Amino acid sequence: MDRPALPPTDRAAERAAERPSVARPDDHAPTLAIGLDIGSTFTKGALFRLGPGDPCLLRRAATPTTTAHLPDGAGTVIRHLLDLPPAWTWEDLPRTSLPSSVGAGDGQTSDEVRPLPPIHFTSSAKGGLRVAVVGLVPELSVQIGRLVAWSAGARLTGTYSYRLTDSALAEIEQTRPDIVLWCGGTDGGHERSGRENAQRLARSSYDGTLIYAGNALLADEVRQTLAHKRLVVTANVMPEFGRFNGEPAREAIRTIFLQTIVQGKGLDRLAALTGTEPVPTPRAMFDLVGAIADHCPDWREFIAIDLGGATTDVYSCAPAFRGGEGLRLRGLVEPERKRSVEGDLGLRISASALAAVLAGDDVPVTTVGLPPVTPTALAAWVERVGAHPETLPASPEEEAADAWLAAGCIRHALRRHAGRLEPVWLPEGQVWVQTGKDLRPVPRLVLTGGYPAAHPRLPLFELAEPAARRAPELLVPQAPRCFVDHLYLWPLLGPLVARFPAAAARLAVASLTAVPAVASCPDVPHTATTDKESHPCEILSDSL
Amino acid sequence: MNTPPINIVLGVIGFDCHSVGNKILEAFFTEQGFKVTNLGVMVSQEEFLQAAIETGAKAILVSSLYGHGEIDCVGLREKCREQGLDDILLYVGGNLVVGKTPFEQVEAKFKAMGYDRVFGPDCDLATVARLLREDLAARQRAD
Ligand code: B12
Repeated sequence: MDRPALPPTDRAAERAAERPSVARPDDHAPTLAIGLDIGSTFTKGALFRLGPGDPCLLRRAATPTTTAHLPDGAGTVIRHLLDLPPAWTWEDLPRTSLPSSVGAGDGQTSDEVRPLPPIHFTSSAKGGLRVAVVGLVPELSVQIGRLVAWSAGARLTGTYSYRLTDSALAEIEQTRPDIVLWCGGTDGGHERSGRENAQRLARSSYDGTLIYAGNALLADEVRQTLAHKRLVVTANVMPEFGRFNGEPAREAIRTIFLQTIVQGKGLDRLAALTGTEPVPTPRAMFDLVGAIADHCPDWREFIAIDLGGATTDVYSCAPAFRGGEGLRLRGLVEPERKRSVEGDLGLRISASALAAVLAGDDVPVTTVGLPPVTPTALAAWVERVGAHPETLPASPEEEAADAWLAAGCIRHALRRHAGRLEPVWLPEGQVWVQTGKDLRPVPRLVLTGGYPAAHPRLPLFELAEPAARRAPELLVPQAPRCFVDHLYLWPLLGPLVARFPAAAARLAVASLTAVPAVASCPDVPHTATTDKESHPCEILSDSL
Repeated sequence: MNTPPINIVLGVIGFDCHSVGNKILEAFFTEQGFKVTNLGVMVSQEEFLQAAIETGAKAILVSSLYGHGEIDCVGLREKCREQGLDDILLYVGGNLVVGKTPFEQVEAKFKAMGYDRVFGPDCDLATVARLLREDLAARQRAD
């Protein structure tokens, strides 16, 4: 702050002039802001009033994603949010000012020309950000690579350890991830597999981007061997044994997302006109979860579960290990902020994979408050929704099948995200060895996603992990208070964290609804009478 | 040009929680110029191996103090071979057996398990460091 600001160079000034006039964030006045999420099927958006005081939601809109050219759908949503005339398109952004009907009462006079609010957006279109992880030891560098990729908002297409085999390489060539995040070896540590993998990757036909984030001693050699490939070299994700250093690789993933993945389908043009950079949708969610832990005093420790049709994502903010008499941590100390993604746990596209996981469960298919689901009914439902993801339950049995699958996603996603305890008998008595994160005391759990939003009163956590059956060796939360993102705002607040971290975090928490305690729950989940997503454009006219 | 330090891995094997000697060994070998990855107490064979692989360690120094050394230490050499750590040095030391077995017998037993050198509780650490350097140099010449 004490250095004098340099005058802008001519080129910077030129670039600034090309940008639309957007409101600058202001610490003192309330600010309007738009969050957009360009998903694979729907493009959604919301207009918020942020800044100090009580942030609130003003309007929402959604439209089917225009997959051939993404800005068209985004433009439709912006047009609805800002009350712009029907002929308006996103290409008019630089020439548009804010209509007087929008966000009135902010102290401006109505004839003042007001700039458009800042527009921040995320994208999971084109299948999201697909990353393969190549590392050395599965429990060490491979696991760190997974955690880094997940926290960058990626979906993993595969993980590979030690030396890349022919079949592993063939799999990478065939699945063509956007990025191969390649690590292994501490700095000055293991070299042989890294060297061999460099040569094997050099010969492969893989043509995406390689990020090398392993043993720094090999970096020059890797650059030489892979000179003909798209390669980014960053600092080691594990420079010393057990030490995490995820940020440089995360930043590399973000840059590659912007430079290569966002190109095409018009996202780069939209970014140029809004003056903001798109973020992968799950990375925005990760940033939102972190901002909540930073800015909301009661929310320093919590878990969020994003329940989707294809994946279930778990985010935790909590220390991994809390120590205690007779407790010892084995293996990596996992990071306080962690995201995991389960590609086989989802309510629609992944329903059949999920059913296979649930088939091995020790929890019976009937449980509190739901009509029994017979295995045949469940199988029929799974087959239908897998083939037709837009299917909605039409009977109490189908409602129950859907609820059962949702609970199954939560159960397994949480169990895989959380750590475990193993009893050990020593000469002086029993002790426990912990691996992974101890989430038992985490006091709050948030469910977000289309399904929880449509069933905010359903005790999904209780269905997933009935208190009576909770196994002591699983380090899942013991008695969290459960909340639902019933307006499904979190994906739209995520992109705004980059600019308004505190206000976005406060609004994210304020917009939650508490799940009633089990005793007061309805016996049967109420039938979803409206599918929010089936309306091409839903406009809510005012705040929460 | 200065050569990068040699990586070694240190830890107390099995369910042994005697931590004092382990701290002394870490401080000593660090001061001697080694890059020490100290896994602390209650270390499983798998953890030794994983750490040795990632750090590219040239030697693993195993401690056992509580009397179960024989059971805990057996099989580590075989696991190393299985994981491709073919020429890693394995040293073991501490209170390796219960009772009054003569040291020569103890040494023979652990050498048969594949440990390169075996030390008792009152070994001289300076001698250990000298032997370690000689053994490492011999390994390098063999390469
Ligand atoms: C303090 C102590 C404890 C403390 C440990 C506290 C702690 N955080 O460390 C407590 C009370 C917890 C404890 C518990 C037990 N203890 Co105790 N403990 C001792 C004691 C008194 C001192 C150990 C010590 O710190 N020594 C000082 C350090 C510097 O020396 P050191 O550990 O030997 O390490 C040096 C050398 O051995 C060598 N070295 C060690 N490893 C290696 C490896 C290599 C490669 C090399 C080159 C050298 C090397 O270098 C080290 C540094 O100089 C010893 C007796 C003794 N005087 O040694 C018994 C002793 C080790 N304990 C013993 C026993 C039996 C136990 C228990 C099983 C008792 C019980 N039934 O509950 C438990 C086991 C708990 C467990 N799961 O591990 C026995 C072991 C018998 C045996 N091996 O034959 C001993 C020898 C006492 C005895 N005479 O019976 N113990």
